[in-house]
Amino acid sequence: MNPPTSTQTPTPPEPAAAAPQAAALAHPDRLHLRLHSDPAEVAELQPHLLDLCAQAGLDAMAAFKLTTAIVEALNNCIEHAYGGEPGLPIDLEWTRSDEAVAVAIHDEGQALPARALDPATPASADADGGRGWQIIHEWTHAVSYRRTDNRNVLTLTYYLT
Amino acid sequence: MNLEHRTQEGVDIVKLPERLMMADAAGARATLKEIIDRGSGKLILNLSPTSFMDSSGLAVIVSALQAARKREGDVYLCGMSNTVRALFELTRLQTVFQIFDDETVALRAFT
Repeated sequence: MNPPTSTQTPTPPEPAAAAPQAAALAHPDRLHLRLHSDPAEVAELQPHLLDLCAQAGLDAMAAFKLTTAIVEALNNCIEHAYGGEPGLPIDLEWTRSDEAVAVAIHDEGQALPARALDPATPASADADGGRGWQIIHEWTHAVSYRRTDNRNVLTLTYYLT
Repeated sequence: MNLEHRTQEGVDIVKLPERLMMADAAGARATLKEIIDRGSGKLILNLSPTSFMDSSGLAVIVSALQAARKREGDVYLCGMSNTVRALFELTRLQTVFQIFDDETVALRAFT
């Protein structure tokens, strides 16, 4: 497995060091993580996302919710944008301001279907799947999507105030 | 996937792992199905070790329920943290599963 990489910079970020170092960074306002379409990398990143949320001032429940939403978005890149093909790039940009945390997730896979952006139709309670988008929509405050130069950019925003 | 498993009074009791995510979902799904197919169909999933779960983890638990009900059994859940409970409530899965505080109470409900 190729580990996710990370860096903390005030200017346009570039991926550099290993993901576990992300947790050691004090109150990162801007962070760029490079990972690949591998569920094991998402699992490796998950506790560091919780740490980042806590460092941003979120309580345990809010940190769990935002982390889960981010994980779901990464899972969607792997499962849907890349169709399960491993080793393809996913970039995660974490930006924290006084007002909000914004998490932009970039991939080079298939475009997002329009229905994914419609939170009005959650999965039925006993369905086998289909809950990921519900979690993303319900556990963040804003979701935006754009497709530029054959890249998907999904941005999740969680307000801090 | 290795899951802590024991049988008591004809009920299979399984402790779920600390995290149940997409990376582990296929293995967990297969292990639980094997336990259900070999057992009575009555299954208690103890979530007390589980601090994080995504929708793939939820799907594993739903698939266990479907397998158990095919055998006219059921899946009861216990030991859920507040955060994981919030995930079940968001997705309305608390309306599908019986959820108990601990294994003792869940076992009593089965027997």
